[in-house]
Amino acid sequence: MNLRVRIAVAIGILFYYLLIFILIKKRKISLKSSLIWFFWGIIFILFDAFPILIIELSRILGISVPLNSLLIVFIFGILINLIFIMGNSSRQEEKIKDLSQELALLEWEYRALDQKTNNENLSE
Amino acid sequence: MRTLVIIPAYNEGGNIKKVIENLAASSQEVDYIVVNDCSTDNTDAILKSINACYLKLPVNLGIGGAMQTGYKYAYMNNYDIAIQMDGDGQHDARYISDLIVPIVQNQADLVVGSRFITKEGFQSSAMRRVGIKFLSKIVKWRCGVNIKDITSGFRAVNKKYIKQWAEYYPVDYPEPESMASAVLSGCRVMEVPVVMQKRESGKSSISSLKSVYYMVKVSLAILLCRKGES
Repeated sequence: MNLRVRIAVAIGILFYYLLIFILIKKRKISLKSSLIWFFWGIIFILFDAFPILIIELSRILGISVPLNSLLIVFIFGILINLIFIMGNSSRQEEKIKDLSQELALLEWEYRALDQKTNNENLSE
Repeated sequence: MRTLVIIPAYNEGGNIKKVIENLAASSQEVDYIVVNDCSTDNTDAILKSINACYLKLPVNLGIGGAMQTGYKYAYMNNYDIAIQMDGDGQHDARYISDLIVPIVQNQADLVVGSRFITKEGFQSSAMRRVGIKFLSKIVKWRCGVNIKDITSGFRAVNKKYIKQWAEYYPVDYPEPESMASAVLSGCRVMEVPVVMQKRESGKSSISSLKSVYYMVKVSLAILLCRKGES
């Protein structure tokens, strides 16, 4: 990897972390859910700081241009993160479903109680 | 035995009153609960006007979520048998006693009202029947049980499976998956013949465009399903 690419990747990582910090600070994302993005940022810092790692990876995978290996790692990282996000979204979906069902059952109880009270008032 | 009929309803303003009247006219000794799945038509107003017993979901959860709400209600109110009946008028309340009897006599845990035993009444389109047969084969291969009308939404379960389905019920297109999961946990399934009607108004939840997605999703769900915990 030539120096220009490394500088570009370094700037990219800088913006990446800056964005994460701003979002955490503004409480748009939680620290917990951003941890996986932190992790992938560190992987890229390592690849950028020690290009030998990506060169070695390219040799193992049989990829002639190291930059392509970096892109593959990048895409793989996004896929892993997406799976985590999907898991999170499924859990939230389940929670919303449970809450909605509880709400419907509570509303039914409230209605039944209300009707009972009305009937009692009428009989008095 | 205390029996509850669960009627999920989404935009069934044109049918729901008739379904409830049909249930009342059948003089079955059963309670019922309509689960209004956040309908956007006048279903809610109709339910209110006839003073029906109903649950009102604040957001649309789909058929699985609505059915599970019904099972939660049945579990909460300690019912012994829960019967699932569509809100579109396809299921005739006269057959409720046929569904209950095998459970009362402890011959089955889950009784399915099947269109394909006597082959009378509404049989669905040829394409759908092919799909149902295919799903039925997958269930037989996966669970070792032959259920002809695997997608039937007219079925009864005992207390054990009320609890199981109150805890977990598949979200969309739930019938085949819930049945497979119950069978894997040792559920005794029996099919009894019923005659179904064609829906009078409203739309089926499975349009022709969705049918491919339906087949893939349900087949995968059956293949991956775990045994239900009870």
